Amino acid sequence: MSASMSLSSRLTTTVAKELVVAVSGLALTGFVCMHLAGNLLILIGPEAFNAYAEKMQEFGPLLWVARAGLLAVFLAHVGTAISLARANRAARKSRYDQHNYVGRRSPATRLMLLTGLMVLMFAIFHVLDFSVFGHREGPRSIVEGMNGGASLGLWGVVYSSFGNPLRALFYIAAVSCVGLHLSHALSSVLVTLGVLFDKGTDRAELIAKAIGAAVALGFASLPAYVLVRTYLIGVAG
Amino acid sequence: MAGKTINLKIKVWRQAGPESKGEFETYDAKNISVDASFLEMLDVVNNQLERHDKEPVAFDHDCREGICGMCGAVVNGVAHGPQTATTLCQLHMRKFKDGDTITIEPWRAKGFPIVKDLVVDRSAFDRIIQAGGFVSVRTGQAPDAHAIPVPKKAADEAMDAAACIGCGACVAACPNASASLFTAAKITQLAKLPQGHPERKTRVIAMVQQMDKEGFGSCSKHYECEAACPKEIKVSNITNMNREYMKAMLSPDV
Repeated sequence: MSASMSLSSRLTTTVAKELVVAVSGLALTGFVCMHLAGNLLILIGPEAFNAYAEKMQEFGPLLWVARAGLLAVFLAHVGTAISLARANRAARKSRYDQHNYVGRRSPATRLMLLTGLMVLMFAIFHVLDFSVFGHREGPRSIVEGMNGGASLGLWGVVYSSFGNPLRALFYIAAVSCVGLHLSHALSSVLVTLGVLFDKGTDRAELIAKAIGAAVALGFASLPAYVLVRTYLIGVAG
Repeated sequence: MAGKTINLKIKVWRQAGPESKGEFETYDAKNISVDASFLEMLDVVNNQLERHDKEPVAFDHDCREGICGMCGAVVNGVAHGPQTATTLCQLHMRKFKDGDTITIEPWRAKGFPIVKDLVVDRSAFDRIIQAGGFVSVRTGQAPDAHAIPVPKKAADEAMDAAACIGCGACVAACPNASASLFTAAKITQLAKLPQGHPERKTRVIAMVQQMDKEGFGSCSKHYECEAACPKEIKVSNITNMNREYMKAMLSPDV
């Protein structure tokens, strides 16, 4: 046997790399769900959401530890997935003249790399937009005709941002990518982790699609809420 | 008795050798009996080509009864052609219509270099099996057949995995040219049985490493392999391979 059984060689095969993508992906899914739960407070009102945002700040240095951890998981997920995708591309150098897919792979499966890259670019923009340049007492926190022109904190920043239909649509497109990505990932991950066998596949795929749709709709409800309130009901509402 | 015949055009990949640049050539396939197999249709075309002093189309075949795993080509974009759970030799021309143009290509994968025309070198699969190594057995007198109890479920799963004939359709159909289904079937076949247990952990590591070394891609769960497999090998085998791998990956006794 020419194989090397050292731990380092065991941890660098494609199967091991898939495990890295799967486990980091699950952790990121956990983050996305918590992020969604927090964001839904926007629907309740400025007090609830701003109180939640302030509470997060109270963690102080721990918040930076959590951020660093999240970044590390994110980089591991993206880096490993890209390394696998490159190897997969290299595995077929000459292309078929015709290649018809006859299995049951969904568009979400086909678009994994694309939706993943879209989410990556969106995540960078999003952090810059709402954390770095979205100062919670700055001019963006003031919503015209609301609160007598006084700052509405982070809630105001979000509200005034989504008042711009282009921004709102961009955000909806981005969270749709997140949902589409999850709708494949959450059943695929069960195969990688060695738990999903033939019998449960249909149900797992259905649940994955449901979660993907729920996450996308949950996030999309925020810009939708602002747009409806701004253009249909009127600001004062 | 003259049966029904059809006239076709075939657009087939011609490549003189491993290093040559290949290209498609189109030939007429006239008066093909609908009862002929796909390979017999190619035989008829090759006879015509030989009559005109042209090089016949090289393709792999052996048993022509769907059990040896030698034949295979991508027909109209589908590995082994349009009929599910069927090797190319068992595909019959009644599946095509008069006047059709059929595109025929070899398996395309870095791990399966083209030898000539539709013939690819699948010795990578042999090396993956070799990497799995041996199975420890008691030497001396043959043991009684019932000496080692095997649960029915395990026996069935091992048998289903062992149905793999190593034709390579899974690699051909996979968008990543991954050999995961093949490798997983071979791993599962032995891991499910008590006879395969002593070397279970080293086997899965070594076979996965060899699969990577041969230049195959990884599994992104498109499940195209399962759809293309003439022996209906299930993706469950890949789940099982991953489970075996996880157990072995961090195990101190590997």
